[in-house]
Amino acid sequence: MTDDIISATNLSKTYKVYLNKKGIIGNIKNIFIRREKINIAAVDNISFIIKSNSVTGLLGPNGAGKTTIIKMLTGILSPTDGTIKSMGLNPFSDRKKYVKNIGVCLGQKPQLWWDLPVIESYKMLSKIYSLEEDSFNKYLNYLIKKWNLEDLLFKPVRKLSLGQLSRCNLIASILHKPKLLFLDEPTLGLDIYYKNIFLEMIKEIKKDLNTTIILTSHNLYEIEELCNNIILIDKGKIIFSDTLQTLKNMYEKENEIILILSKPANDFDGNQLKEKYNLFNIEKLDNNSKIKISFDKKKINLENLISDLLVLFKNNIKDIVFSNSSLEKIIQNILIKDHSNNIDR
Amino acid sequence: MIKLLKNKLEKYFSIIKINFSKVLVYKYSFLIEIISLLFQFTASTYIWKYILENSPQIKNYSISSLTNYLLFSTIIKSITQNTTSMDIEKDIRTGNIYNFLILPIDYIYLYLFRDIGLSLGRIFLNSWLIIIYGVVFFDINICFNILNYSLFFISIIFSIIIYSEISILIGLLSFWTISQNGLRYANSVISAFFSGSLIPLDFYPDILKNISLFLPYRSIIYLPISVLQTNTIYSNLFQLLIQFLWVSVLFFINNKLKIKAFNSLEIVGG
Repeated sequence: MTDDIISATNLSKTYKVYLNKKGIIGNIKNIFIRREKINIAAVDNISFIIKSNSVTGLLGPNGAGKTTIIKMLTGILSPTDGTIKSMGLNPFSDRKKYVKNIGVCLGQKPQLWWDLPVIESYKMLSKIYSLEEDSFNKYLNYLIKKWNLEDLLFKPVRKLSLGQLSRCNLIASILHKPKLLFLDEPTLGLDIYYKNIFLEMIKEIKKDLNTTIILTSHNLYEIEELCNNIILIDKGKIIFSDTLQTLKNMYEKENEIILILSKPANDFDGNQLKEKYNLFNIEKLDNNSKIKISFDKKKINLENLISDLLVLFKNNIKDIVFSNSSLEKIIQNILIKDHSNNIDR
Repeated sequence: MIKLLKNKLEKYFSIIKINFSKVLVYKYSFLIEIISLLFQFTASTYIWKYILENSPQIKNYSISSLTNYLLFSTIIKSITQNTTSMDIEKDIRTGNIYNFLILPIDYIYLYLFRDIGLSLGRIFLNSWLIIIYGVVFFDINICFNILNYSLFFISIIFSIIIYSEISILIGLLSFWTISQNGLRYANSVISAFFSGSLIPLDFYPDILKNISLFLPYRSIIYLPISVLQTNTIYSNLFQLLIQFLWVSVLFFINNKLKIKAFNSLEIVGG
């Protein structure tokens, strides 16, 4: 049975923004006249829970409010309205006690001291978290061996490559074995090789520490690899919150078949097929040498469609590729739907 | 309870230690830093030598006691200087403050103990170089009185803390002002004037002397040198008490300001 580790109720965060007048005259006016103030709701009355030992992906376009939520959950920002209970504490008012049990890894802002060797940063963190020396050394040695960090330990942080830095930074965020780990775009800027190593590290950390992870990322491959729960945010509101599988079941409507042909099918007209099966679309690609058919597999008889295609393109099919809608497409569709709903309203 | 205190002390001691060693790692940068101060010391000493050529004393200061004053003022300046207000401004501007707030450590203490560490490193690296320079080139007589020097050392620790707290205060103000170049400039000018770093405060007219009593700057340079140059133990303890009071007042203000600042913290994006 899993318990809730975080519960947020009616959470809002509003930022005040002062509007400056433009131009030289405007700037002079700004000195003497009180500037107009507007409130921007970065997070707008949202409620959610995070279950213990889960990996939750916080998704949404830029400016959706993800980072603001993470900052409220880590106790840095105080909510304008609403309450957060995390591990039985209020992150903002019990910050000192709370931060001992959380780890935060920010892809954009590594927490290692840039002019110190990596090992010195680790030692400093062990003192800051008041860790027992023996158990800290034991755990650090385990991590160093496991992730081959021996060569990096004595290098000043400023001399590390981005891939090395991100690995060392992730280790820094788990030295105190946090119960809750926040990863805010942790693989930003990493190449595919380091990205995969990083994902492997996160999986292992999860296994080792049994920690609850909250991840924000624009890379949906990472989300699919790691997360079992998804919270999708747009314009400060939650537009989906459930398991990844539910998201896929609910929104995975578009499937694709791509036929790769030996000879171009210049005379092929897909309209008849489109009407017969109520397909979304039939497209001819690469000078008519590829046919892309998109449909909802729940609404058609796939067997019949394939046999019709085999008859239509007899002796001309080199390859057939089947694909389900990518998570990216699913999320894109949800966001587009949400935006058009907003316009309608 | 004792374990908790031990952990706390260890935490802050580790910050002092790491910054102390930073001075030794970047020794050349810190050595270059004192060259400019030595130039300043040399220039002002020659000006005073010229002024006092025809009169043996001015306001109870002979040329030798004045040179002595300027030498110790240079040492304290070299020890207490810090970049804290700039660093806090940068933390706020770049959002890097996030990295400190997620640690179980007080943001103010982090900078305070960093400054103490760096200043102790400077005492170790810079101060004896400045003393040798003074003794060799300006014939300064360092009479060694263990009690005075011990109290002087305590007084310097208070100076470091006070100057660091002022810098933290200015840094924290950037939560509201975003850029604090003007404040920083004003602080350095007022500090130079009222701390007694250019000339002893005794040279000022009464009104300025009275104003200086209500400002913390006096405790940074003028009071430690008074501790060194006065042989009355009670008067020295009184000077230390004044410094301690300023430490407490600034600490109180900074804490209040910090709470207000963190409540209004707005780091949008990234």
